[in-house]
Amino acid sequence: MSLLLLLIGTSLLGAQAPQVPGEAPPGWSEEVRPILAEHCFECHGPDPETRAARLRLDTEDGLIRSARDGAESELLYRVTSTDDFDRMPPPEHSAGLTADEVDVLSRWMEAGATWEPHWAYAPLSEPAADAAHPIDGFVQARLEEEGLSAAPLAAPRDLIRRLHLDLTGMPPSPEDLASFLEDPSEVAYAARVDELLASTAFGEHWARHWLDVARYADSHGFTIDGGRTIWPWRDWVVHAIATDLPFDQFTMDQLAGDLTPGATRAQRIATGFHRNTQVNQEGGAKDEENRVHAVIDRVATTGAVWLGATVGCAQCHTHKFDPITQAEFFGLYALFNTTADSGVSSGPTMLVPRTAEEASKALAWEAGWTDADAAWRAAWDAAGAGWRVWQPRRATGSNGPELRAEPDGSYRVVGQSPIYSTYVLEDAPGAGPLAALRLEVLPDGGPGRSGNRNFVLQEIRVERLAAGAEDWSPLPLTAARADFEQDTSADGGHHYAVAGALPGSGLRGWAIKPEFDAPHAAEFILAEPVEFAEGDRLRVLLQQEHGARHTLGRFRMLLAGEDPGADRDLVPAAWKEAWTARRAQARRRPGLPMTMVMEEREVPRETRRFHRGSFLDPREPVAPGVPAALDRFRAEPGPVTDRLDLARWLMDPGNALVQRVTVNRWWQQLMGAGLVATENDFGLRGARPSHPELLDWLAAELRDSGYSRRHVLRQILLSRTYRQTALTDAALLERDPDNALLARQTRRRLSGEQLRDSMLLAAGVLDPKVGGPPVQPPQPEGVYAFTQNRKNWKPSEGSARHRRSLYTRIWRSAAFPFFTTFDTPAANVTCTRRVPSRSPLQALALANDPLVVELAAAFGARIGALEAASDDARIDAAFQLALGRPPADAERERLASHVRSVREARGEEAAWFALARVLFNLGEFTHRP
Amino acid sequence: MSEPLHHLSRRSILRAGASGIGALALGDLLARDGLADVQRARLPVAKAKRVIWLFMAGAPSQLELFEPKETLQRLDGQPLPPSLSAGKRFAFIDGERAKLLGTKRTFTRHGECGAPVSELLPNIAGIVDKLCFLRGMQAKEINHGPAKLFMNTGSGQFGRPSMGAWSLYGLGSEAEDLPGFVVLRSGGRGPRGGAPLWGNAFLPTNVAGTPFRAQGDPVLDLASPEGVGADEQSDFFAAVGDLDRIAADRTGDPAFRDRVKTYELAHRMQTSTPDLIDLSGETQETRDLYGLGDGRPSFARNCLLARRLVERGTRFVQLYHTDWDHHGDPGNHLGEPLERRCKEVDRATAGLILDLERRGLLEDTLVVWGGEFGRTPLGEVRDFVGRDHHVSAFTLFMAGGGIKPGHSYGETDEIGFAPVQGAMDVHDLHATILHQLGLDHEKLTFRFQGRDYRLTDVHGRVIRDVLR
Repeated sequence: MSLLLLLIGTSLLGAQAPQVPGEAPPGWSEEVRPILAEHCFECHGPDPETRAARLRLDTEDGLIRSARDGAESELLYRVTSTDDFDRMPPPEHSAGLTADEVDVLSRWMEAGATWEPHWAYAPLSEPAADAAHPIDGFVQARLEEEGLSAAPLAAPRDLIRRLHLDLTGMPPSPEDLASFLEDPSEVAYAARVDELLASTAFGEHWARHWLDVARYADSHGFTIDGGRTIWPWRDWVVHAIATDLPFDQFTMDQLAGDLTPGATRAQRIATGFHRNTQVNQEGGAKDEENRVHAVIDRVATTGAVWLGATVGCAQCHTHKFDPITQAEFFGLYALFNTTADSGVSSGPTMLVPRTAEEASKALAWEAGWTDADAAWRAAWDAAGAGWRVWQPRRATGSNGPELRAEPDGSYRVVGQSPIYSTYVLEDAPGAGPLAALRLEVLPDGGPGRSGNRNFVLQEIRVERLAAGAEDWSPLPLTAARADFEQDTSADGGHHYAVAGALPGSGLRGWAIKPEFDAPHAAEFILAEPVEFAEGDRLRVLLQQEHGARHTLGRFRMLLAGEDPGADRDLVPAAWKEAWTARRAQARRRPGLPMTMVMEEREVPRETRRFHRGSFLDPREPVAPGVPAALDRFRAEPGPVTDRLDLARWLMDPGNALVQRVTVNRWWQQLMGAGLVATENDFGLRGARPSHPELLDWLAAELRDSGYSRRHVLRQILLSRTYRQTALTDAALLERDPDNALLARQTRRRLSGEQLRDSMLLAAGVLDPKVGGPPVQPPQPEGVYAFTQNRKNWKPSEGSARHRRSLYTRIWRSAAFPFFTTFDTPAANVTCTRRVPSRSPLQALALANDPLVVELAAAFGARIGALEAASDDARIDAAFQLALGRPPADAERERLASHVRSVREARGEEAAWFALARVLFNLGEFTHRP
Repeated sequence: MSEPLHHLSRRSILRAGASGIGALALGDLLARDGLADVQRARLPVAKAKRVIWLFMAGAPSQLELFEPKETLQRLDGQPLPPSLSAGKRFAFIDGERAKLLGTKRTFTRHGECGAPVSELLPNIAGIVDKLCFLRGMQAKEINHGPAKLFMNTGSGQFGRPSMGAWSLYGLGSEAEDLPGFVVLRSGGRGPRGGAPLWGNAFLPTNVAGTPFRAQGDPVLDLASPEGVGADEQSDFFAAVGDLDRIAADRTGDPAFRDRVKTYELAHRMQTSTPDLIDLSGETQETRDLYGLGDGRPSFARNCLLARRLVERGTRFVQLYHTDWDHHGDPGNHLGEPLERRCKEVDRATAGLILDLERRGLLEDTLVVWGGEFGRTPLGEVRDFVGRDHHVSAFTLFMAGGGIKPGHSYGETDEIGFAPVQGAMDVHDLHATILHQLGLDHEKLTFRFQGRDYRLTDVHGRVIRDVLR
């Protein structure tokens, strides 16, 4: 026990140690602010609700008062006081500052207590780079400070294996390896870097990281988790990365491609990025609740991905540590709160043609659809001429259904489908007379919700609550008319006349069988027109108690101040024809994939701040905008009012934060960890960069290269820092276990996708086909048995079993187990970094999973078929295929003994299977050197 | 083994030692993984060493099982009195029009404590003196998925670690050859919410729950490939280990030696897990105690597996039994379907508690039984008699692990709508369970993205009234 405590204690002190104080006073950003952020900001930071003693220590003004009196300062007294009552932070909050921390604070105060903005939000430092390779210059300078030196260069064999695995996700083919070993010069290496950076395989491997970020899956999520089509977005990402679409364009297309003037189909496909949120298809799921969740997720994801900021914290309250207020969170929210998608269904979607011929078909159909839809809307409006649409915000249905307000003024009834329901519409319709009501029932999503799409409107009641009055008064209805009434009395049924819906009629109510595929209208006339004053409330109850779900599915309510009379077509023929034409056009849609895209809603939504983050408690309206603290150095200032502005703001040359976050992630992909270790938190409690100048230099390269990913990666890949060996010794491991100083490379376990792809390559069965719908490689039986809607995982046949892992179908409720075992994230929320785990389940999967067994059998067959004179020669060749090098004697002997024993027991074929299986399980195979 | 943290640490130290990482780096590793914080969270006394959580997914009706209400019976068919409906939040039901629903079930008081249990749970009724009923439980989320997340992670949204993960993180595992947190499922389908219910979220991956399968091999890939016998499999693991050792020597990289250990455990699991699930050694008397029947996958089999897991050192076992969502649809109402559900769990639950007790395990094993919320005193207008979701009050019971036996905590109003005393929310439950495990819920934290996270977030009280 004491040993453990000692170790922990030592390490905590040790964690502070790497900072070399030198003679210079402690820097505000580097040393002082982290101490205050750790101990003080929770109660004396940006959040006014939790701020104690009206003291704020995260701003210059707030701090000066406390700190600039040197040794006399209140701040210093408080943190050093031995009086529990005076001491800060209070004893119940934490154990207080360490002696080292107090020392930093006091030296900082003695030097004048200079304050500066948080490093991550400041403009780039534009560091001078005079070394032959700037990256190596920055790394070398730090190593010299620490008295260390860089590791030797990696052996060519390791280097080229590393390069291929990092860029394409797979080791080099035997030919690619051999050609490099023939000429391992720097020129040849640089040429290989360029070749791979321009390859589709690079696009595929780097797309996988972006899919994690985007929480991509081929299903909707939640309980039902039905399938969805959004793989065209995945293919767009592969293509964009492989062709080096500049990162600013890459960003703008995905966040706001639809808003770009003259948006192309590709730009609209790109907006699938934020359609990767979940959709709740559970019966009774609330549309608005789920839509709000999706919008919040889009804000949080955008913050994590581009800003390295935990903006999600500000949903419920002003951020406790970072300068993002709750109002600013909702400013971001407002930018995303404008789109047409729902929380419970997959639309909007868009056709995805794959050939020129398909493209012209798609274009022609879309033009026809736009026309047919516009004609339908025009005819609909004409049918209601003289009426005004009434769509109160308060619209409810008893027993569970949700009345979703559509932009066209109608309601679509979704969620629970109860046997009976009464719908209630209520608001203050404004001053003026009310003489009649018109109920339009619509075939799209309706008209009714019973099995045959019928409904029975049993009774309509109209009531008024005069402003200031306590009770509702019924408004008597005297007449009703409809364009059509169900009369099945001749067949032994009944006459469902609209007059039956009048209160107290004693009749059955209004129904429309069998005319389900046309719009209908019923009009109800008040006994006499009623003058509504401003603030008077109107309530309409639609009672539907026929049973068997005979309730309305889609309808619109209209009001008139004067009865337009019965002498007219309630439903003009033109309206019906327009509906028929629209439906016919819908049915002519070409059989092409439909991918989920982002579109603006026809009628904008107002955004209000949700008190304590609850959408049930909306408060004051919030205008769209971005956090002020992150918007101080923009090159092109201006208001941020929509997603396109947001994307432009992110990609503004002055937005150093985004540039830093972006290059840091790429560095992480290649070096194992970011220069800023907390790659998703560049805020005040995040880690500081290990090499601030290098980070800023890379960020400037990104900005100045026109946001070229290829350029920035090339700089890193050509550096000596990247090319050095991962071989190391215990002393360096002990000194720098996380390799923060970069005195070596790091060996890393391959991802599940890389493992499988490497096996496919070694076995010689990889199908290199790019893109298209997802496929289903074999997996253990019964993996999907526990999901609510059992997924039938029929393994693909033929070469589709052997496509790259990127194309494996992803069900959110039951991810592909082999990948999950190796840390592929669940696609519920953004994942900007896979944290590698180690578990015996991984060993079990590699040893026994049917996927591995099948590929080991294929590799074994390949080995057996090799031209080789002896077991040893065959083992050498197989080893070379799997690991890119010949075995050492001890390795060959051990493998040969395994091969011999299996051959004795089970014969030749099994022996080579067994060899392949061991090779796939070796650490050298499962790690990138 | 009595101090599991020692155990974990010792293994970490051994692992690190074998890897060539020195003492300082190890401390750093522990600090980074949060174990320094874990140390802070340890209480001097731990009454429970392990938890078996019997999760009744879908939410059983407390009004048919544990909560007889005379007034509710009297008001059967009446609308909810306005005095009771004011300001209440309803799930799907129309609070103004729905009618109160009395139960059709007969209740009897049982045991010395006199706790009421209905005719539906005769075996549980027989052991009420070993149970502690929490009658004032309150939840927050009204839909199944979020509510289950809430009950497991303290948050209705994805992204927080589960209670089992926190427990394992705080205490480590005592199991040598098996996972420390295991999830067993039975019933018509898996629980809504899926893997996040037992996820590790931002905690280290080795504390995530391992979901055993409901049929066949409980862990995937435990069977050797077809045709590969035990000898070949052993030589396979040996060959991989030998070559990894060679690589370790050549590269100096600890990753290779870590693999050797991991492969050894995997190989052990291939033999330990079949032994775990082979119930043939259990006596007929024990099988009958649980109501095992023919031994096919069932809640009863999972209860027996749970006992076998905790015997082997597994820290946290969670059983899900589904289909308690008795709204009143055909096949899903308070008549025969509820009776069937009760039959499936009644004997096995009681059997598990009795079996743990006679083996001396109940003392330090905490058993929890309940759903994600309760059901309303109002009837639902559907084809059959049913009740809608209800978050304002429900009943859950615990046994063992230092919890007061033969006790009831909390009381609801005359129709069972809301607690009038002894209200206890999910955070309180979490705080209390962690407390029994010897963990201070306010100090068991993990820093993630700049914030110290807790299972109980900023809530939670240890309810001392229920402690022995």
